[in-house]
Amino acid sequence: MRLNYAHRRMLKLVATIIVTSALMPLMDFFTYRAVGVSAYPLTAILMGAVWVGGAVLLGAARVNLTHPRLSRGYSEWLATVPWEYGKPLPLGSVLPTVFDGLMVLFFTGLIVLTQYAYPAAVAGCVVIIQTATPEQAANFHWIKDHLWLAPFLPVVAYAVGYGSAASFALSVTKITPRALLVPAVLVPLCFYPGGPSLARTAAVATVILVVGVCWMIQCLKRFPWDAPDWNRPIKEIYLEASIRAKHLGWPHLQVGPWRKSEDPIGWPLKLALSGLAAWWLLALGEVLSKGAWTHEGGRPMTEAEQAALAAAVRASFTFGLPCLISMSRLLIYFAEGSPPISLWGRLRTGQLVIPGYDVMFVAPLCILAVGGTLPLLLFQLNVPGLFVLAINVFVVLLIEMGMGPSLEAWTLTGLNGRRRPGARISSIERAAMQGRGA
Amino acid sequence: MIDIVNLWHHYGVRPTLSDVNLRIETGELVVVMGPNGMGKSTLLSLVAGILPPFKGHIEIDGKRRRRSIEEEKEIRRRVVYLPDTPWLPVQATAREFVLAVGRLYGVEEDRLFDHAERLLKLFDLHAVGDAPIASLSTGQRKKVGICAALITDAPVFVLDEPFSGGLDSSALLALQHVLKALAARDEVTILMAVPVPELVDALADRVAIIKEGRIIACDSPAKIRESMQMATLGEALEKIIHPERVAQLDEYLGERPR
Repeated sequence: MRLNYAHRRMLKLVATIIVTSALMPLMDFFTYRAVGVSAYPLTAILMGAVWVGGAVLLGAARVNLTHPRLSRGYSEWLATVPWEYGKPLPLGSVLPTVFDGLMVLFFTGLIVLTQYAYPAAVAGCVVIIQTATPEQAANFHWIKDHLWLAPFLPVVAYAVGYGSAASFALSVTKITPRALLVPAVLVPLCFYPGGPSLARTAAVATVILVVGVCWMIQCLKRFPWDAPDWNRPIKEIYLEASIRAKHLGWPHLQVGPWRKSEDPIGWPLKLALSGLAAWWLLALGEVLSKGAWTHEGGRPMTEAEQAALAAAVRASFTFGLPCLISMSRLLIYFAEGSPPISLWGRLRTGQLVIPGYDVMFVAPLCILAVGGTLPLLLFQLNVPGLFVLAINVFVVLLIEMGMGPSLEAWTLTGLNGRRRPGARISSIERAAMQGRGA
Repeated sequence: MIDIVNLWHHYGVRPTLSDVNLRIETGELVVVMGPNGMGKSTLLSLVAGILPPFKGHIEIDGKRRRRSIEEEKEIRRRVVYLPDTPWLPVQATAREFVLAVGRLYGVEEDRLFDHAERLLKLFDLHAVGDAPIASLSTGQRKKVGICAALITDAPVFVLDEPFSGGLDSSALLALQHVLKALAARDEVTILMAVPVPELVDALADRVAIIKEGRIIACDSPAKIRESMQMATLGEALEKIIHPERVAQLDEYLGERPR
């Protein structure tokens, strides 16, 4: 097997991952020498995270480096030569090869070996433990019991990275922009229901990989792609590369004919995104419920204690997330426009409500109201806590994305001003109160 | 056409603009003049869409600002606003910025590159056109802002003190001629604030004088001079805006030790 350009680039990435992960024991060593306290098992967790994350990155890089659709120069050049699907790609095959198998084997071997040399294993969020103190070890009880999962994780991670990147490559061809939904929907199945499962994880990785490869073949068969920006004048490409519209600044960005691209999200996508968020929360909640709180300070927790702790955490998320979501919407709108009159001005003129501006507060208030009352209702109906959390987030996100006025409508038609860069509202208000508005 | 109807605006308690009414016909060049802090920039900001009117409304070419998304977008395509101190991307070059603004306004590529070259030459930016804006002087930066506004080919220009900001005499002359040429075209409407009467006299079709948030006079420079029976527009303005100034000057100068 001859190493091509993409292989060499990937090997550089592998070297970077290894060097990064090797920093962890060093960090542990220096922390111990400096302050006499070992950073272990944090360093072990980080090391495992670097490997698993690295495997995902490698899988994605594999597609990114070889798929002509993801490189404008490559695809433009390819269009000038007599390449068609079926012939080998000049920069190496984008489909899985022996090299991918070797990559995965390398990472698996790395994990198996270091499990003994530096007792760090990996698991979704990773670990541990032979030399940790009994207290530390007990807190990672669940992960310790599932240590055998670790060597399989690079396979899954590489497949997920590869399949997701392949789906992404498909989505940029606009054949089906929803392609990324497949990995987004399937990945939580690794953890839900019933906590992490190797069988399901393997199945999910296989499906993502197979779907990604199938779509990639479909994508390559359609070459050359009829993308809207295909064959644009070189002057335009130069212009776009040198300065983008978002860098035009004040006032062109605020009152010019172009605004931040706000592709209207249709209701199907809003439903899908809200559903996905709820689905991921369900899966993550399941992981945390099953594995995170089985021990406290080395002492096994009773089932009642575990249930109480899990319920408390779920409740804080159930009521906390709507607050965060509401706040995020407020911040986005605040950033887009300032009120037509200061708070002081409102009080002094008696115009406490300015509908053209204040309409933007309605949705965040609704989010708080619904997010605060819906869980209570669901709890009354004896809906399990995890489902309450998921349903609440689903509904709240739907309100966040679906309730008007949209940012575009509010900024274009509402009673809001555009802030100059660097202008702080306090200085504007101060000037206004002193009657120096003009 | 710009139609300003019953326009009110206040930042805090004191109204900055009170019941302003002004109609600027298509093809007119109207200059807003008045003392500092009396609402000139606020009026221009309202017309440009930077600020929302507290009461009243603004119509541009028959479309009302902020009434609907479609109308607002249509207006934005037709209006370019040059603030007194425009923000500039200092890492970009003058040429890049000017081209990008032209593209923003949908100027056709062939005309865009040609027009940019001519503008950069006209304002002596040709030699520094490929240098980062960060390396340009204050006056050169102002020129970049002017070029960016002019390249848009917009039918409505809202210019806040375009002659200030360290422009050299050559640029002042060039800008005067360009604005005059634009104003001579029937389809271009210009609303600008200029504090220097000498520059306005030869340029403006009409001068709107604003004081304490109200338009107290709006007529051609010649008629304003005539009505005040003054030889220059500056003196006429002084008589309208500060009738007490001559007496104050006499009083001030009379008290000085000789």
